[in-house]
Amino acid sequence: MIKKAQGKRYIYQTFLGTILLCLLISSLTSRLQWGILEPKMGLNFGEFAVLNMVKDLILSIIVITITYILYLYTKREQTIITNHNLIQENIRIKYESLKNQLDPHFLFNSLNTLSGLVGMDDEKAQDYIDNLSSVFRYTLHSKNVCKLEKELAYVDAYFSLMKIRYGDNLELICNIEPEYYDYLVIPVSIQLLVENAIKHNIISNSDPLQITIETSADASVTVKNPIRPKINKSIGGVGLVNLTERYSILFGKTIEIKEQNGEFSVMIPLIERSSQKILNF
Amino acid sequence: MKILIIEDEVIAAQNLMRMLREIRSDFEILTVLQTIKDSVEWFNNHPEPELLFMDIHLADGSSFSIFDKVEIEYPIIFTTAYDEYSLSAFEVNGIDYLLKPINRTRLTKAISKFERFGKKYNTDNLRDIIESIAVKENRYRSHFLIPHRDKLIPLPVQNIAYACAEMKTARIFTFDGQDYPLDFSLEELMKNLDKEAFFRANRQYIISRHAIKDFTIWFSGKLTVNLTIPVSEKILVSKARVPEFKAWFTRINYL
Repeated sequence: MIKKAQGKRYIYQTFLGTILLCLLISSLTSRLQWGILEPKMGLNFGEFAVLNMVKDLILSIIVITITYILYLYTKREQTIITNHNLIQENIRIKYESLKNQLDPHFLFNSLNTLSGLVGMDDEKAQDYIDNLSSVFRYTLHSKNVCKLEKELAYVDAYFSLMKIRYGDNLELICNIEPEYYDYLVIPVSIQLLVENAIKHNIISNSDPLQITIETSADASVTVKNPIRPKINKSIGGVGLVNLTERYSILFGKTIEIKEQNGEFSVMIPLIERSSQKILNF
Repeated sequence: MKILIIEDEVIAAQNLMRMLREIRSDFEILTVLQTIKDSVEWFNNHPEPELLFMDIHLADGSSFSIFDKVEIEYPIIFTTAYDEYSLSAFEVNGIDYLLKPINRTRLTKAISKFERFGKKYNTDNLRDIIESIAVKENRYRSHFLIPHRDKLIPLPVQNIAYACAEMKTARIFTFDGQDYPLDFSLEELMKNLDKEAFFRANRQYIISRHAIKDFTIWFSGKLTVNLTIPVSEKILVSKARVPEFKAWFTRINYL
């Protein structure tokens, strides 16, 4: 809105300024022009001056208008191209985002596990399907915040899937104070941290991985795990950077990442419902 | 026939075993190994199997690392859920793979193919091929965790303008004028950076493509790179490395 108004004002200013400049030049040179034209025209200077000014005024308006039209035309061409590029970029970003949400590794590995359960243990297979659909349904919702309770239920569904795949090599310990259930977090935040812990650390039967989620008195929740890095550290994920930015933009708060005594922990703040004028969660 | 399975998920392994036994009842599954560590140990202490099913992503890392430690000269079929880069490389080099969830028909096909070709099933220079795939698979870091007081701050890689060596470690300088110490060397840093976006200008400096303002070529043949942000000393590229620098800078495949 502001830019549009400024733009218009700029155009009016340029228009007016150019016309005044033309008139100025016109009046300065009118004596000279009269000197050249007088014999053919037979007018006195006064009449000539007026006619001259009118003629120059009309001419300058025409020239400016034509110039402006040409300028608008070029700009329109540019805008069309820029627009096209932006649309392409937008589509690409949406596609990448969707692809990431889908997480092909997770999907196909889950289906492979499911394929193993079917025919061997149908009850487990059914539970697996329920948890898998809960997980995907949750990742599809696009709200900015959700209750800690909901996020933990999602983490639970996700972890049940992981537990079936990795058995006793994976363990989740939850120490959550019930008073914080209604506090708010960014969706998929805790799950992301749990997922990172699983992705980056060794999980084997000689070395089971224990992940802990706990709340603390300062209204925060921490996800921590011992550090046993996988051999080829393909730490691609933008998840953590993304999460840091989102907490900063949405709530103006920071998350704390620590690596101490062989333990990796990430602490995210819990937001009290009343402190936010949030309409949807 | 003696078959070895390397797979870190119990159910996935059981599934594969079940399918194999349904195809040929005389298949002997030697064992199921879950980690790189166990696999290397097993290979060093047991005779070769006739066929190996290898999952790419294992509990302690990528199974490609096994090839660094052990010679594998018998047929392999890789199994994977989704590995964009590896799959096309496999196809190009005639290395067989199965996508998860494993399909019985395709498994049968793969087995018959193996039985037809026997030992000549895989190519000879498997190790080199795997190495080149492993390099491409190693996705570069998108951020570094920088220690700041008692916390860690994630620093996105695109903020890095250049890095400078400081004795045994390095320091990162960002576009917004900040700098952060790292607790590892410049070499280690370079390993984790996308080679298309970053260049090791000399022993002291790594520079980001986006930070380059222009460069000056001297009479002696060497080159100084000028960055968009101030640097405490000149960044020189030696005469010998100028062609390499120019090749890197003008690479068209960088988008």
